[in-house]
Amino acid sequence: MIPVLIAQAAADSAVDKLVSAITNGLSLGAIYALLALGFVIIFKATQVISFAHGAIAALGAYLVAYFATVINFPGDLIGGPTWLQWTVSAIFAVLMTAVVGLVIERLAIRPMIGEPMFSIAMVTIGLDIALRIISNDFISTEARPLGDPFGTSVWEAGPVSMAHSEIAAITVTIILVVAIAWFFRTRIGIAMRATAFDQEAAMAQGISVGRIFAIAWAIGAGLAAVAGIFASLFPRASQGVSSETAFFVFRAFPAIILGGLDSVPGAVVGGFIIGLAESFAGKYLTWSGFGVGFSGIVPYLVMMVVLLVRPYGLFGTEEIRRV
Amino acid sequence: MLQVANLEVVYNDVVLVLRGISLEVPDGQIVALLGANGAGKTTTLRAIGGLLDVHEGDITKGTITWNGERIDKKRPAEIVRAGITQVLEGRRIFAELNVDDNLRTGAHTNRSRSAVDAAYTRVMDLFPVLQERRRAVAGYLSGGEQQMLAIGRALMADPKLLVLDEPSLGLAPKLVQQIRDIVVDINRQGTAVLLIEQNATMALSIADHGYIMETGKLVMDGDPKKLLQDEDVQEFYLGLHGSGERKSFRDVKHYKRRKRWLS
Repeated sequence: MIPVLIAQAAADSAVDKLVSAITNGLSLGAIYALLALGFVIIFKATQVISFAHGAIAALGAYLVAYFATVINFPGDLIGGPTWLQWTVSAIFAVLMTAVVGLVIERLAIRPMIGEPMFSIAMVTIGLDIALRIISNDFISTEARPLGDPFGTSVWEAGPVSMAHSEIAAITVTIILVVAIAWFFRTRIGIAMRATAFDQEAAMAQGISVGRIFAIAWAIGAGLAAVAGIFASLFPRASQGVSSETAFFVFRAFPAIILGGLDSVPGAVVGGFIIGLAESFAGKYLTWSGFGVGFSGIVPYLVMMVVLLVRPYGLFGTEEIRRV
Repeated sequence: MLQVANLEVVYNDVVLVLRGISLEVPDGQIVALLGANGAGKTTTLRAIGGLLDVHEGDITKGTITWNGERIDKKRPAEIVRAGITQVLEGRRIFAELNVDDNLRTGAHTNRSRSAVDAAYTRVMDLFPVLQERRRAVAGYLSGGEQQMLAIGRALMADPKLLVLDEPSLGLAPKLVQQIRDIVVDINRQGTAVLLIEQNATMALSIADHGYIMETGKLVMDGDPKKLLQDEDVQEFYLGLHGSGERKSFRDVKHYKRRKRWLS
């Protein structure tokens, strides 16, 4: 009787471990997917490798902290339950970050059109430093809570236990991915794909390439801000947005490269693969010989292995050519 | 009517490519612009379409007017909206998009639903091949189909003037005939056409007026039938000599005839 119970308990804990690795991986992957998606949209449409992505994500999270907790704008204009007010303020902050993306594009990127890709990448590194210093100055040394309604509450059903913020992250990611997929079928979206493929030909069709660049940066910055929010919530961060948030984004780089720098579906799939890999490594690769924090390097190992087999990433396009 | 007057274009601030080009494309006509490689035909088109910036080119002198309004300082999108669309050399279709999406990029400036639908029907009537391959990825179309797609895409903007840069480039003779007939059809529907060609016979056979360029200057213009009869045109573009026979290159004696048009 007793050995059976022990075996049962062991099986239960094995299932629990597996399920929690999956749920944790999915919610982590959702954040990576959002970051990768924004990065890839900017890269694909404008051929700019944006190293400022992390700073933009952190800035977005900071703006949420500011709008939702400090001035509660525009949520207080609406009234209603606090979660609704918070959501409205958060959405407003995300839109503000998108506007910041527009401004960055207009002031720093547009004048660099036609310059070599590396020069522009250097500009984005400068932007990254500038934005981080500015937002760190606002954040100051203490991490700032976002005032989110999720808190540390956890939803449990059988072996599944997920933080509310994790469920929100996955849901929001799915909604945004579907919205982006839909966007690429609209007039502007098709124009963006055309611009990504051949700028001069797009101009000859009457597409304003500058406007497309601006839209791409706005979308990329907005997605980064959403990712920044979820990266600053429990269980990803204990206290809210801090100077560490910007560096969280570097962990999404394997996801971007893995999926293929120029592939939108690749960004999403890559995000989830890396999230799951990191989460599974955290749960299962606990042998002491690996040392602490081995799960942190697993995404890079996965990336390296995939690049050995597919140098363009999983979905990166080589080139469509008629033979 | 498109009027180009004394147009001078410089690339990279040093390379003088056009040295005073003047030409006209009256409404509803086909005008052919011929010339050897490097004569400046494509540059003329870039200047008309506002695409010089991409190539570090500048208009240093002269004007381009479209229906009395100057367009030489305008951006490409404004020029397309004003009614001039071009088909770039080498087709330049969006290979990763499917045929329908390619056509939709062409309709980017065309905001009204009904106008887009009408343009779409027109393109499908002109190019039944595209109808069959609507969902196909454009990169996998044959060369002729790609050229048709490029022309169809330009027509989606409902242009008053269609500018074609070497539509016969790299196509089999049969397809060249087909493209020629299509250009005539498009023109009959009321669209003026400015046609750049190396295939002089084809271009002059359908044009209402012909211009011949060399090293950045116009050296000759006039009625296409007269141009076809001209000795110089026959020798330099049609590979014939005076009497109209085909000439063997073995017999070419360069000193016998002057090698340049003027000067």
